Amino acid sequence: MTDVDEIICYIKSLKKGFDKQLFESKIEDLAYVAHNTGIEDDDFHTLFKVWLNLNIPIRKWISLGTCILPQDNVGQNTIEYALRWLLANQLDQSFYQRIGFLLDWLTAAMDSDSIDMVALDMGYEVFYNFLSFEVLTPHVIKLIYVLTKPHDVTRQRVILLLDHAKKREVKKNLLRQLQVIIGLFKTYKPECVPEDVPSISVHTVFKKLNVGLLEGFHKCQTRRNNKRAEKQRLLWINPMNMKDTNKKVFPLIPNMKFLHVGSTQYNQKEPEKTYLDFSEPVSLLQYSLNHNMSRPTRLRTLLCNPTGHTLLSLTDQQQYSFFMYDLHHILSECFLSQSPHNYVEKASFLNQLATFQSTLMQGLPVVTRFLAQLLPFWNELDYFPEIMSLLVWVNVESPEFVEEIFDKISKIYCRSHPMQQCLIVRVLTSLYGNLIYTSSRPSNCFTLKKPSEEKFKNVISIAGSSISEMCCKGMQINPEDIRIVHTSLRALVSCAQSSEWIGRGMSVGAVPRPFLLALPLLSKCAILLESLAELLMRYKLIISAYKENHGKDQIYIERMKVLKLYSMDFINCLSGQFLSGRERGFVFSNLQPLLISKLTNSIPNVEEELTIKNHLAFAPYTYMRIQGTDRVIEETIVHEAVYQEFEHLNNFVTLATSR
Amino acid sequence: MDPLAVIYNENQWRVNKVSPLFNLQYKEVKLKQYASSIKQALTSAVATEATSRFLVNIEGLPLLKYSNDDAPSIMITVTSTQEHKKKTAYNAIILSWGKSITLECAIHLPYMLERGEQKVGHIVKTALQNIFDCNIKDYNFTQFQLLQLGFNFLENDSSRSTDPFTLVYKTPQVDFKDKLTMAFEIGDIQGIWTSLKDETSNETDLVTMAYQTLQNQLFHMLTMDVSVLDICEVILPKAEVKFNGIVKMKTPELVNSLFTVLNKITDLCVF
Repeated sequence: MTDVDEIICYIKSLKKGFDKQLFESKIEDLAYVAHNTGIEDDDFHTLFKVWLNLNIPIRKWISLGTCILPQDNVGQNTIEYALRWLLANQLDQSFYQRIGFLLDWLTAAMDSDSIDMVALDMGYEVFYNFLSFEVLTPHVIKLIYVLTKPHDVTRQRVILLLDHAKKREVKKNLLRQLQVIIGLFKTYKPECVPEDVPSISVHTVFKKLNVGLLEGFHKCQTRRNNKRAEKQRLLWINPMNMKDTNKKVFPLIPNMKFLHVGSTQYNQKEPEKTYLDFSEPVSLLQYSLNHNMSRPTRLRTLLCNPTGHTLLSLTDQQQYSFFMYDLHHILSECFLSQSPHNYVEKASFLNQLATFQSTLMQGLPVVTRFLAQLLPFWNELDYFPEIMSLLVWVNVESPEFVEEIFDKISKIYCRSHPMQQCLIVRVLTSLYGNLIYTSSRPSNCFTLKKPSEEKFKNVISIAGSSISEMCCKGMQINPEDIRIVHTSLRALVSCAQSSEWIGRGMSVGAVPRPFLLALPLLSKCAILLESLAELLMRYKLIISAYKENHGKDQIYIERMKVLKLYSMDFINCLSGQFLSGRERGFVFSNLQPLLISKLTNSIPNVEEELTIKNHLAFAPYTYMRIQGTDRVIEETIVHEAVYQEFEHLNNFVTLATSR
Repeated sequence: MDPLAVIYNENQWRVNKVSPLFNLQYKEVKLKQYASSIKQALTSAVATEATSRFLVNIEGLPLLKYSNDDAPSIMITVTSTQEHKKKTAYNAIILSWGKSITLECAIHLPYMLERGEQKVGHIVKTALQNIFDCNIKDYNFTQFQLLQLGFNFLENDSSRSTDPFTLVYKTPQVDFKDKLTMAFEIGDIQGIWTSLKDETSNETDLVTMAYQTLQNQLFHMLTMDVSVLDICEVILPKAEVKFNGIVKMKTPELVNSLFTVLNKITDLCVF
């Protein structure tokens, strides 16, 4: 890390006959800091002052100057110091080169917007004086050009400039520079400059600045731009519409327009503001809450950005109903039958619709209906990710649509590749969680009315049983695929979590099927056994909460039975009784006697051997402890190695052993 | 004069379906304003010679409806004058026939019949979609829907029994332009239709069975299996319908028949 302080000390100590190579390397270090992290403001100001007063050969002085760059902006104190220095040295001819470079430096800072313009403006008089010196005019010309304001133009100044111009008539370049300034004055106050002035292209007159200097300031500017927080600007143009030159097709999400039919000539009151009058989302939303605003020509325009989604969700009932019918028309015309729109535009539209549903945090009836109509004819390929994101929220007003959706999704699931199956299960688990959330939400959200408790229960139970059915089938199709087993198990745990945390005993979650409970026992994955324990623990809580709400009804009795049986199996596996205790469970209850006798014959002491503590899944944890020796895995080892790692398993075992 | 005459006195129309029209008002002043908006759109879009001008007229047709619950229809006429010759460039009627969505801030006229120049029509429809925030989409009839329309026309057609009932076929998915025309006698078809009506009252089954009978007859007589071909037109003496939404009706009963079937075909649900 270069220490800027150290460099400053070095520079202060520079005397005649200093080591050139050392100087070069120091400058390089300084340049590195200036270009990358930037010199801190205090250091910068010190450096600047030291630099200006340094008495070293001009070339070295200039190369040092190109490395002295601010972090953000050249501040007021630096500018003031520079101006004082200029005033002090303006009459000393030997300083002209330095003054010229300093003026270039200030111009570069101005060009890259890295300087306090108000402070710079204070130096106008100083800069103006330099116009009298031929040598310095080219350096100061751009500063004058930019900083001149109409009130700076006086006849006196004009006469002065004209005098200078006469003296420099012979040297065309110098003359041109002055003519540009006079021309500028003429545009500001024509009455002060009645003379004819030729029009000259301004940029031919400004001199080229030191490349290194410009580069440095440019880097400073980029650094500044990157640091500034991104201001969210409102953009109402849909990029899809830019590409489309096919004017025969109406856009799915049009650009924002406001159309007024009829004349506005006789409107007495002030016209309503439109969304295009605002460039910032927050101010637009605040204004719209308190005032009436013009309705955009097409409501669908509001789907193009998040501000629009918010505006749509806050709109009144009438507009909302209208919008629903508009969406219905678009969805049936463009997605359920042929339309000339291209794939990308349609996918983008569906994406925006999914985002809108998420913004409202509930399923739109029109979308649920659309999905129920689309899925039977869907080729399972087109718009796959978009349809999945739409499925995350469903509306329960019409249970027949939800049933249809689940029915078709189950079939699609059975046909899909494993990765798609995992995605479908994840999506449906989110759907389940969202349903539980919407059902337990106390108040209405936005303009949709909240469906009845009965409808929620109905749909949630359909969802739950579909999910567990699907997971079971998935595992039957691919019992070896760890992705499927893991996703299915986690899905059920998720559903159980939602039911437990939010459901407050209203539903029984997605009830696992026996096969789903049995398969993890055969896997080689510790996390599956942990998830299984978690599922059992959560189930216990859900069912007790259910009992409190509904008493011991039929559903309770059935679920409780499964829970008991399966827990028994698990406990048997823990305590080395999986065969002898198999009547009390169900995973092993159907084993053939022949098979059991073969097993007992081939493995002595089979029940002691085949227990959880000897399970292959936990081998990485337990074998580490015994380090390959022939020690038997004691209970204590298992406790340390396994149960400490896995919280739910620990809880389950504690509960089991305390009984 | 019969309000339906504006429809059946003309030759061919194209049918479109329309979503609800936001804030449509029937006052004279408003209709004139809508007309001038459309005219603006036309003049800016169509680069024509200096001598031709467009005139847009919109009028309400309060009697053109099925029942009193329907909203009044609207007729849009675009005339272009070129060198003192006036001709109707485009004509459209937007109407409702017994089944529509009820909204507070909008009027629903679900069907639009149009005829005339395509370019003008396209501009007018875009303008309407912008003024009323609606969507206008043309119909593309499926096989079954064409048969539905055809048989429904049959029930209301008052032609002689020897007049032809024609089905026009095209070969699907192949770039073969020739069409196949099969003509039956109306009397025969009516006989089949009425006899099948005794067997079932479900309309879907009726249409399927009737068509199956016709297919069998064709196979029997010509050993030609038309089930591989797509029907693209159904032609009766006083009515016609094409797969791309072009219809022709010559009597008020047939106009009613068209819209009754369209009410069944179109998915107008309530949210």
